[in-house]
Amino acid sequence: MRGEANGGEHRHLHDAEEEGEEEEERVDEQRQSAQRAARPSSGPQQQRSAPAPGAAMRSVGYVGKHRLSAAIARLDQELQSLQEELDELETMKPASAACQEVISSTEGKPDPLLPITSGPENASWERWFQRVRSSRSNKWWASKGSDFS
Amino acid sequence: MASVAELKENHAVATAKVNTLRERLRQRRQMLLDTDVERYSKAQGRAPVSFNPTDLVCCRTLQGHSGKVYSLDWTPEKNWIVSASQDGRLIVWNALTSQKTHAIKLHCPWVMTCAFAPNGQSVACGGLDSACSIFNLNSQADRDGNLPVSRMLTGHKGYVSSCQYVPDQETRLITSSGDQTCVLWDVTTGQRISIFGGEFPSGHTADVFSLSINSSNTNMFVSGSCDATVRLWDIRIASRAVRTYHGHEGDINSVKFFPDGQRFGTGSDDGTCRLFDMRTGHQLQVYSREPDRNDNELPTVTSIAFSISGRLLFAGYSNGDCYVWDTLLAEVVLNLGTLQNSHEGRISCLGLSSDGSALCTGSWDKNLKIWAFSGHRKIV
Repeated sequence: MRGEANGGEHRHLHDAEEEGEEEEERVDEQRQSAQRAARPSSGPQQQRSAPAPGAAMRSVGYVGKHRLSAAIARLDQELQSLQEELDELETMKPASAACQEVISSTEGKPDPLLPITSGPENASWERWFQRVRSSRSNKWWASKGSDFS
Repeated sequence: MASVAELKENHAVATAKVNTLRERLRQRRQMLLDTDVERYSKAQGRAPVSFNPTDLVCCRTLQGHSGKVYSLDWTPEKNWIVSASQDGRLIVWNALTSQKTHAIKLHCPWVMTCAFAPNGQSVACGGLDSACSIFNLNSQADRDGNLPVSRMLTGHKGYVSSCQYVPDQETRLITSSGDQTCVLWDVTTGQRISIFGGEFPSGHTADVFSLSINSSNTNMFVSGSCDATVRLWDIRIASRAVRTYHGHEGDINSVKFFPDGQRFGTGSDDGTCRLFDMRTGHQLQVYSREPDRNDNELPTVTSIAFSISGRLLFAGYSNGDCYVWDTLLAEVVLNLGTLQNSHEGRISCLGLSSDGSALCTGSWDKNLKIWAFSGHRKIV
């Protein structure tokens, strides 16, 4: 759990970054907007009443000038990166091209778990069903088709 | 420096701009999604993989852990598997004979992940101790029969959720963590070589749960996070993620590269698996379960793996199901969770042997199971 200053009882928590310029601010709004920026905007928004399980519990109570500046710098960098991605999309091939590649890549590869597959077949695929004498006991497994466990 | 009020205003403006641009990006991407793998495959007249009821069978049950199994990994060469459990132990199994070759008692019992080194001589594990411990399987056990730790990789500020050795490199390992970063380690010195994320702006913004290294290009790996995104990293450039993949609506619990090394699959708390194109970022397919008739909560996807050709996607769910998806037709062609001898609890981890002939599943029922094809195989 990330512990950050959280209003009320941690009112006087110092952060070296702040250099004494802390403000007593409840910036829940900022936290929410940061979370919105962190979460994808695609797809239906899911209203969550509590943070997602496992997510770092950020409770930004007090944000000094330096922290705000750093946050703005990060957002600017993200803006730049998003713009670069938008530019990339101008010349990007649609999904159909990749879909064809996915299909092609599954063909011609021998796959021991498929009922119908391309060759060559490898004899060692059958080792799971062959007699294996264990060095400790005389247990061994019957041939293919039986229940083993 | 500007006043706090001005800074807050600037921050709000920047945030609004980011949200607007994100939305534009989302819409532009939507326009490029002219089809998905399922529709494309059906348009080509492809039929789904068809299994007979006894084609895939459980051919081994590995019993020995006294707690939930959380993680497993196969050796690249032999038939060995290492597993990690709530019982605070790692067990190394010969999957062919079901024998336990090593049982390693861990200093910190709260283990979440384990991995085999490429040469099969060492295993790594990590968990709530925020560290990754390396054990050399050839080392001498102490008086109590415990293997000593040969190296501790410390530095993470949160739990270690996943670890994987860089293929063909015994000395390098990547970890993912609850501290929102991934780290590339030099195992021989214990030093961190690179940190991916953290203070850098393009890092994950929540706990990272899983990672997968591209075996076709070991400079690249993907990480999946509670921030509902996957990020692609080039290990030579730690300063920023190469790409961020949006789509999921919940924590991502599992990521795995597709065998061709150009796509990867994901499994999430939102109950779906997805296939993404690495280079373009396109979401090529969503694998969604039918909603429960009784309107129960949708089971989450805990772990995924592809068969060696990529035609099958195995997905373990929180309710004990283990769906076998036809990757191309997006249909469930088998549920290992309902077969004879299936697990009695949630499937927490799964993985394919290196030749793709066997699938191992690990469960909260404390067992591991090996599944293989025992039906009539047609070679074309």
